[in-house]
Amino acid sequence: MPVHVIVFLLLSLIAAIMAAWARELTAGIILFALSALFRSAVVLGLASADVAFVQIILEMLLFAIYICACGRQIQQRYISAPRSASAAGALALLFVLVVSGLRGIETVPAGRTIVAAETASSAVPAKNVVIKMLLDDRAFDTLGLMCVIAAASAGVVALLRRRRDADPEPPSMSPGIGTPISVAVRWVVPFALLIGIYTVSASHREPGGAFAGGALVSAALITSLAANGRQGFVAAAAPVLLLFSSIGIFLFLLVGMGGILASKEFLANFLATQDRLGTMPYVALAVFLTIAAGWTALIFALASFKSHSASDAEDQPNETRAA
Amino acid sequence: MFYMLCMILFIAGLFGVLIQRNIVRMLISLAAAQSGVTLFLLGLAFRGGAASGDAVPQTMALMSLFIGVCTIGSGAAIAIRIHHATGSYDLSDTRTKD
Repeated sequence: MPVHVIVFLLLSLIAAIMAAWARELTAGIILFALSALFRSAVVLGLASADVAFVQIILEMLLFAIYICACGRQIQQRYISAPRSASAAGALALLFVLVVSGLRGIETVPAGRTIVAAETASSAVPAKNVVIKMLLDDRAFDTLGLMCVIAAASAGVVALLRRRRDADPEPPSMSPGIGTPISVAVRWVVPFALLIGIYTVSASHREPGGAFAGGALVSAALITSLAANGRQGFVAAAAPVLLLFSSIGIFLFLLVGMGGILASKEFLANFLATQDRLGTMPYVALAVFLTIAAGWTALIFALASFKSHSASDAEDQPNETRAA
Repeated sequence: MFYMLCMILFIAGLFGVLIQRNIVRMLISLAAAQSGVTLFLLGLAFRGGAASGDAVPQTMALMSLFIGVCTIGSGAAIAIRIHHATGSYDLSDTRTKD
């Protein structure tokens, strides 16, 4: 194993231990984000730009989740939680844009036959071997993964749904957001959305695929929300996004059942020919919808509950206690 | 060495989950433990110094990453609910708001 990979892993380990035992919760979250950055460097050092691409997006989502989970405490003590979330999001997306330039690294040597992806019945007539594995050999596992994501999002939305007697129109989530952050978000988010959609559309010939593209679009939407979102819109959008997530699973099941009917194999690409992708775009769209909508709904639910409950923070200033 | 560090990361995270009383710190520790497992899988994918790795561990690592976000998200929702009910992230504090 290369020395720099070991060094980055060691730094990640130290930062993670310091994060778990930091005196202040805010410091713990920032240290864990630092640990995530080192972990991404480890993954890049292992020449797996594809996984690093996904990993840094997911770490950004985790950072947003932590900020939402204890945003009330942070907001009272230090800074505006949406502002810090959008700053972190913009930085993470910038990092993703850089990493996306490295996605051309081959993840599996040419000629290696891990899955029977070159056959006509394959769901993915592509060079992206990890996605082939997810959609060919592990099609049912992928269906399970999509169901877990949709179920987790639905559970969070249900757990944190607003009561009917709540304020009809709470204030904006990010009053007076800083100009540099606002400018960064305004420039970064459109690029991130563009690369996310391109990653999905090119999943048959490049690393990344619908999983990475969905996560990137979700991260871009969440960053945009943190900078410009309004709580009323966010609270109303979460159930609608859950609907899109369910449509993704339904589409995936539909294509999968079509494969069973056509060639007795779940998710078999029964429409593929030498010069046509067949059902591949529909599978990519299904995965993209489930992941992008599911995670956006999850974070929206967390963020909207925090903003709503923050309205009574001034009434009980000593209620929140440090760990 | 690489695998040992991954194991230490996992054990440190697991230890944090068992020892910590603050639910957000527990979630951070849980994420650290999950990261240890993910990096271990990726290390398996690239063992032997190959420039490109095996797809099976990479796929498992990707699924582990995805499931990890769902786990932490659900835990965060529970943390918010606990904080809403008790005014604290400390699980040993069982007070409820009047």
